[in-house]
Amino acid sequence: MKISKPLRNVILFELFFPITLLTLGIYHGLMQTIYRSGLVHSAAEAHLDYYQGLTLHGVINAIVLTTFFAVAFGHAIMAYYLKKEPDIRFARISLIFMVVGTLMAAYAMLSGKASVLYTFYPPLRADPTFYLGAVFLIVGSWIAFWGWIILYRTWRKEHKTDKIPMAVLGNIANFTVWQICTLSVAVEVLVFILPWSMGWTNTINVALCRTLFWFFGHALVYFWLLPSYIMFYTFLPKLAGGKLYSGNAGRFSFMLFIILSIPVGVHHQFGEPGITSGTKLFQTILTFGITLPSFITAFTMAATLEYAGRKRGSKGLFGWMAKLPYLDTKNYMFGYLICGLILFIFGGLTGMVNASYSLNSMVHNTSWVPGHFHMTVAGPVYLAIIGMTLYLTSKLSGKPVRFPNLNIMVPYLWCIGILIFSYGLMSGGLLGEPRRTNLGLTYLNPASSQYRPDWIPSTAFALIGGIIMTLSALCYFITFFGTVFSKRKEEPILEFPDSELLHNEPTIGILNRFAPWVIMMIIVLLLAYIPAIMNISQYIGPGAQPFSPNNPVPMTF
Amino acid sequence: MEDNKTSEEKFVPKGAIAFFILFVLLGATIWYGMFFLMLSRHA
Amino acid sequence: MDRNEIKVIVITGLLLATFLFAVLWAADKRHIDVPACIPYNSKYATSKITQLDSNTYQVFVVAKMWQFDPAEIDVPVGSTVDFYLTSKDVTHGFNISDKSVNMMAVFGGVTETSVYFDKPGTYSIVCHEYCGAGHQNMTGKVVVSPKKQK
Repeated sequence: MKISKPLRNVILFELFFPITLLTLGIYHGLMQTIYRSGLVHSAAEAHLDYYQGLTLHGVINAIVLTTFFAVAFGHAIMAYYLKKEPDIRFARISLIFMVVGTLMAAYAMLSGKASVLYTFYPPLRADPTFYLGAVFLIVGSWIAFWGWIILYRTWRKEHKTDKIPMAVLGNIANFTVWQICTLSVAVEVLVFILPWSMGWTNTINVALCRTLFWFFGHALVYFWLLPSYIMFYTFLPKLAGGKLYSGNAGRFSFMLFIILSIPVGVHHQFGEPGITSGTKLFQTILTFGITLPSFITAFTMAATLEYAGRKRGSKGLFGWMAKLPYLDTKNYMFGYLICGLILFIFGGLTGMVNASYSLNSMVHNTSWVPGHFHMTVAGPVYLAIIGMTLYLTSKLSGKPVRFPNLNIMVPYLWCIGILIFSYGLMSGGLLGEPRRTNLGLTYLNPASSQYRPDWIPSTAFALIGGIIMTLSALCYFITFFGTVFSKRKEEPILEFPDSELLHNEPTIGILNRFAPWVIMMIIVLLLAYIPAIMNISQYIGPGAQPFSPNNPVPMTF
Repeated sequence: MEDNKTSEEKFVPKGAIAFFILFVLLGATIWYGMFFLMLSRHA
Repeated sequence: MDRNEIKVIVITGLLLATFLFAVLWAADKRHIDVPACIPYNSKYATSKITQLDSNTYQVFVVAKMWQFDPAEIDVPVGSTVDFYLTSKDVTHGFNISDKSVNMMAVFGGVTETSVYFDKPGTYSIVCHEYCGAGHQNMTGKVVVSPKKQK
């Protein structure tokens, strides 16, 4: 499909900008493994303090990269599958908001005024520009969505009985959840944190803010994940040389995500005051529910790949696993997606431990947690993002991918690195190793009374894994920037490896409308969160004053 | 063409079913491993 | 929906049901639960160790930047300690990993858990929630002394 220059440029910029920032995000990922292993015993290296770098790492990798990509990919999908471009004014205004927001937050973090980590829990206080920047970035993503809603509704009027294209269904489901869950963090920031951070109010209700954040925070991870799911269901079958085993399974999965992505946030708060065990147990059960779409996807992808493998002549129960195009440089997206799926097996399964009520006490805030989430957000999400970024950049600028032999290695190197890295983190976590901590200063410092030599092997594994991951990222940056700065050789085109269904699947009415699922979502949300808010009003006492990360004495204005 | 269609519809994902069963077993192993470790720490 | 997909949904549901029952069993029969949520009272904001009877202790722990108050708790083996935890400033963590104790210290809130120390030794308390520049220095301990030889 030909794509107009204005939309093309919006998408290309939205892909390019975060990858540039990602260089800093990956750099401080590696640095953390160096600090934590005790290779250095220092609070800051190269003018970047550990916790400042950790904040940059989380915000760039987990908020900026993911949000920009979701919007860019969303523009591309909506245009391609609905065969019509969204209103360019929405796309442009969205871009401006997101860039301005990112620059504001970057300023705050780089000048050391926002070392509060990407969760920015009060009563740690960051500079107001940090919070405002986050608001602009998120509102920018809403504006893109609003443009797509208008486009979708026009399409729907003209195609009343057609099946909604799978990618469009997934994208709208994803952004519907995003629109609702971000309202909570918008309230947290605009109503509570911003006035307090500027000295207009004296104290802040910490437990309430945390709860509002996590209303947003768990749905956030599905916002990250769903673009990868879209790729699994719409591209992977074709890339593998086969067909999708069940389209309805995919549609059902996306609809389940609408209902269950948000009302599970309390599973990040099992050890906190202010919320009763009854509320925590209820949200545990809901969280179990949301593992369902992922189990469905695991099977459906296996069946799809098995069909592709058998089509290529594989024999036996597992022979199909070997007959897939892992190392075909002309089909590199397959590698990015399959490595993501392999990592997600372990990422998803370990996530079930985290969600399981009292079992959470074994892992909460230990390094097990980043061990888990590097196999999810830094697994299928990261690989799908960087792979598709390269793909779209190449196609939309008419520049063939440079260094294809380096490129094909990227996901495999990454996969090996993550497995070693996460193994180290999870085993350390079971030994009590804390996350979000500069271990090199104390726990991994032989001169310290807190020295924990039993954490040496685990942090060493994380360091080795981190180095391999960085090598993979280096290969990717060489390929990506090499491609960007090469000469155009082809006509720009918007196209995707669109897959076919294996079976004749009827249109199931309930899977072709959003309204009933959105209504269910709101009902479950109210059932899950009204008790939580009521609990807080009963159990929580006074609010807290603001604190700088560097001073136990509260800030005054 | 007809032959292709019927062979496609006859496709039974035996390998995927086997994979899924192993996947579920892996999940149970990880989960119950952690569960019994928790029991042992609680005296 | 495809027959095999339905089977997948059923098997997944059964697996999750076993997890739920295991967790409920642990709560009921072994008293392994999430930390209890206590209505806030300002008395918890001052650290205190009280011996309630011959083998039960009640400790009000106040977490602050960057130490636990009290920093060391001494009890004889066979004691049960009820920890009541709050924060004087930012949010802190409270993790005694060998006993699977894992709570958050939040300003304005109180969490509680009860721990039975059946083996002597020194149990490290680690703060695992980022609380500022001194976070990696924040640690405490429970020292459980062996039975006195008569």
